[in-house]
Amino acid sequence: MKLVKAFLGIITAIALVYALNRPWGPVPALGPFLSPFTGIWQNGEISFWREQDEELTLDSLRGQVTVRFDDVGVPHIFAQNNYDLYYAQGYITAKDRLWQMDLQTRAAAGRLSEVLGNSTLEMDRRSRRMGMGYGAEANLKVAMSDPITREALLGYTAGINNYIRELNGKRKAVEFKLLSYEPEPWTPLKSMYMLEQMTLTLAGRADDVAMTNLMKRLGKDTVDDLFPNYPVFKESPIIPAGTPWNFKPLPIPVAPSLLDADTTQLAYQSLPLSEPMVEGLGSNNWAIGAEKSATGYPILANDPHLELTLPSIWYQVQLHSPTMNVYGVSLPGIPGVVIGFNKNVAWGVTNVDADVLDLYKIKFKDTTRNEYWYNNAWQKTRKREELIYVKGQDEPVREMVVYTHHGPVMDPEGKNAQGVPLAARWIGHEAGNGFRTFYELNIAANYDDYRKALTYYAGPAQNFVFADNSKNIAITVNGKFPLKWEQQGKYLLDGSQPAHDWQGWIPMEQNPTVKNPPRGFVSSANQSSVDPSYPYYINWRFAPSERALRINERLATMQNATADSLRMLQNDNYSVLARTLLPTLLRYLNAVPLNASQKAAYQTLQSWNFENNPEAIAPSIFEEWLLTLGTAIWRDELNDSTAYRYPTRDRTLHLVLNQPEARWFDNVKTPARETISDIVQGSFKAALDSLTAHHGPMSPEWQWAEVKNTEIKHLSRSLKPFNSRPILNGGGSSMVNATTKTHGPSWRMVVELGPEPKAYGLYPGGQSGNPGNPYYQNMLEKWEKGELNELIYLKAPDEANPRLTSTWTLKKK
Amino acid sequence: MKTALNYLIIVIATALLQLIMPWWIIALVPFVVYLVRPEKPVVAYAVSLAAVSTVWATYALFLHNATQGSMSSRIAEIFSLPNATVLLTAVSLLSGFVAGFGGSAGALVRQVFVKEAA
Repeated sequence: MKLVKAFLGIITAIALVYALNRPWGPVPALGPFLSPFTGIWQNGEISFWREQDEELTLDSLRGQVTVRFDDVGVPHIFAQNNYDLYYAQGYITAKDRLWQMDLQTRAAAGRLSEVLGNSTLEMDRRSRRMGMGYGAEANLKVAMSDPITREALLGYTAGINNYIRELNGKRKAVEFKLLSYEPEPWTPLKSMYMLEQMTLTLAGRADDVAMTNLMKRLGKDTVDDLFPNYPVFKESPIIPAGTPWNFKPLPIPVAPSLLDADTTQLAYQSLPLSEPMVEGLGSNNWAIGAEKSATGYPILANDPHLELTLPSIWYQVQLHSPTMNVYGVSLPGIPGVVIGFNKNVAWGVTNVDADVLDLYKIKFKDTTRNEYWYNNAWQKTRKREELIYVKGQDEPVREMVVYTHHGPVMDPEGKNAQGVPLAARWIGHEAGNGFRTFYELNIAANYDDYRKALTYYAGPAQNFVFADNSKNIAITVNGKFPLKWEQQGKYLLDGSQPAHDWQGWIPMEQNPTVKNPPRGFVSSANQSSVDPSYPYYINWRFAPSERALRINERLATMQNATADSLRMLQNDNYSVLARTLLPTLLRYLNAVPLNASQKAAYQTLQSWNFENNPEAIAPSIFEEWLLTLGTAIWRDELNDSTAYRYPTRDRTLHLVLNQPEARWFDNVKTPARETISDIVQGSFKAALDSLTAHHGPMSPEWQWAEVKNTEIKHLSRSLKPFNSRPILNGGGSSMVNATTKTHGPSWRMVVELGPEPKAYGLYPGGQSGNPGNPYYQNMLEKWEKGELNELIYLKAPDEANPRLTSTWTLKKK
Repeated sequence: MKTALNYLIIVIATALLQLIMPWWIIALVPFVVYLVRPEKPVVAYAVSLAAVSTVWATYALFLHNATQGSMSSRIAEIFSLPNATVLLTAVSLLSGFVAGFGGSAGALVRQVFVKEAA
C-alpha cells in the first residue's frame, strides 16, 4: 500500500512537471514561461540597459569600439575599422531587435512554419514559389564577391551571432518565449532575405491578370480609354516636364501584336501575389535649393510610408570609422544606413512604381513540366525542390518549383482551375548590390559620389533624392529597369515568344534624373517618374498625383524655408482631391431634397477647408463618399466572379469632372438609366448611412481621427497588448501626411545641409523591440503631434552633449 | 520548529538553485527535503506549497514593481486575466502545487523505506 502511494506520489509530481515543461499547441511551456527566474517577469524593463556605462568583451573584434547612447536610445558607434563598425552595429541591433530580425527573415525565406506550425504553411509556399530564395542567393553571390560589402556582411553577422551566443534563456525576447522557439545563428544570406522582402513589399505586385481579363471583356478601345498609359486628368511628374534628356536612347523594341485568341477569364485567386497595391503605401521626399532656404544651403526631407508596425521598421544609428561618419535609419538585419546624412550630403528614398514583375503564360509539353515551348522548340525546365519544415511534423512538406528562363512558375501544380501556368519575371531575381549603393551613399562627399553609388543598385527601384553642402540638389529614378516595348507587361505575356522577353536594360546613366532644376527644388511622391517625352516605358500607372501636386505647389511658393517649414509640409493634411472634386459633387446635391441629417452633412462639407485634421468631421464624410462613389460607378460593370481592377483615381476624376455624360454612370444592373446626378446623390446617402451604421448619428464620434482609427500593430498581428494605443492624428492616403488606418510615415527626416549638418527625425515607435521597455514606443507621442527630435551628430567619441546618457566600451577578447 | 525549519530550507534552497537550475528544481528540492526529513505527506505538501509560493510570489512581485508591470500587465492581458495581480497569484499557486506534489512524494517515498517512530 505504501509502495503504491509513493509510486502515485512520484508519478503525479513527474506528470505535473512534464506537463508544465512542454508547450501545448499555442500555449508555451508554462513552467519556464511563468517562472520569475526565467520567464516573462524578466522581460519588463524600467531602467534601460543603455542608461548605464558598460564594458563588454566581444569575441572577434579587431580593435576597441566605443558606443555612446543618447536619451532617445540611439547608439552612436565609433570604431577603428569598418569590420568592427558593422560588428558593433550587428551586436547592438540584435540586442534591441533580434526577434523582429528573425521573424522577418523567416517570412521572406518561407520558413515561418518551422516555428509557427501549419497555419503559415500557405504563406511559406507563396514565398518559395515566388523564388525568394533564388533571388536572395543570386544577390548573395554578388555581395560576397565585392570586398567592401563582404566585410560589412561578415562583420554584421559576427556581431549578431556574438549577441546570440551570450544570450541566456531568461533574457531572450518575450516573443521567443511566447512562441516557444530559440533564436538561430545569423548568416549573410539572411541579410539578403531582408532586401528580398523589401523588394517584395515595394515591387512585388502585378495586375497583369486583371488587365488581361479586362482586355478580353471590354476590348482594346475601351481598355485604352479607361486605362491610359499616362494620367489624363492631372500629373506633376517627378522629373519636371521639359527637363532635357541628355542621352542618345537605345532603339526602342517594337511591340508585337497583343491580340490573344484565348478569351478564357482567369481567376485572381490562383496567383500567389495578386493582392492589389495598398493605397497609402508610398513615400515623399524632396530637397530645396539654397535660393529657397533661409540657411543659404539646401534642405532635404524624406518620409517613407510603409505598414506601421511595432517593433518599428527602422532603427536609428550613427556609424563612425576612419572613413565614415553617417547618421540615419537602418533596417534591422541590414548593415549600414539606408536613409540618412553625413557631413557633406543627405539622401532619401521613395518607391518607384515601375513594372518589374511580369507574368508569362507557359505551355508545358506534358504534366511532368520537364519541357516548355519557347522559340519554336521544347526547352528544358529546371526544378528546385523546396523543403518546408513544419512545427509538429516529422517530415518536411516538399514543394517542387519549376523554373523557366523567365523565372519560377507561380501556380501550384494541378491547382489552377484554368490550367494556365504563369512564370514570373521579377526584378527580385536579378542580382545587384544594393548594399554597395548604401555604403557608397554613407561615405559620399559630393554629387559625383551619389551618381556613382546609384550604379550598383538593382531593385526595388527608388527615387533617390540628394542634397550636398556644395549646394547641389538632385533626384534620380533609380534601379535596373527592363527595356520594354510600350505597355509590355501591362497584360499577360506569351512565354513562348522571344519578342515577349525583357529586351535588355535601360542603361543606368539614362535613368531619369535631374540636377539643380530651374524651379529650385526636386521632389517625389511615387507619382509618374517622367512625362511622356521620356523615350522608355517604365509603367502605365503610378501612385495618384495629389500628394505630388500639393508638395510641388507648396515648394514652388516657399521662400526662406527652414527645417521647420519642411517639417510642417510633412504634416500637411490638405486634400487636393477634395479641392478638385468636392465643389462639383456638392453641386449635384443642390437639385435634390435632403433630410435633416443629410443637410447637416452637406453643410459640414460646404464649410470645410479641405484639411483632413484629426478633429474635423468633413473628411470622414468625404473619404467615405469617395469610396462609395467609386464603387457606384464601376462595380456594376467591373465586378463579378472573375478578377478586375477599377480604373485609376486620375481616370475616374476625369470621368466625373469632364465626362458627365459617360455611359459608365449608368448602373447596368437596373432597368432605369442612371445619370451622374443619380450616382453622386445615391453614393452620398449611402456614405452617410454607412457612417451612421458604424458610428451612430453625426456627432464627435465622426471626427476623422476616430473614423480613420490608426493603430500600430505588433508584428505578430495577434498579440494585442503589444500594439500601440489608438493614434489621434490627421492625414489620409492622398495627403502629404499619408497616415491611414494601417500605413503611414514610418520615418520622418529633415536635414539642413551646411558647414555642419543639422538634422531632425523620428519614427512612430522606439529603438527597443521589447514591449516591456520604455523605449518601445517613446517617440510615438511626438510623431503623432508631427514633431521631430533633433538628431545628435557626433564628430568624436568623447564629444560632450547633454543628451548623451551612457558610454559602452566594446573590447576585443 | 521542524516545520519552520523545513520551510526555510526549501525557500533558501529553491531561491538559490533556480538561479542556475531549470524551474523544475522547485519540485525536486521539496522531494529531497522530505525524503531525508520525516514529515506527514499532507504537512509536507502544505509546507512545500507555502515555501515555493513565497519564493515565486516575492520575486515576481519584486520584478513586477521594479518594472512598473510593463511586461506582466501585458502578459496578463494576453491570457485574458483582469490584471497582473491575478496573474501573480495564479503563478504563485501553480508553483506551490508543483512543489507540494514534490514534497508529498518525498514524504511518501520515505515512508516506504523508513519506519518512523510514532
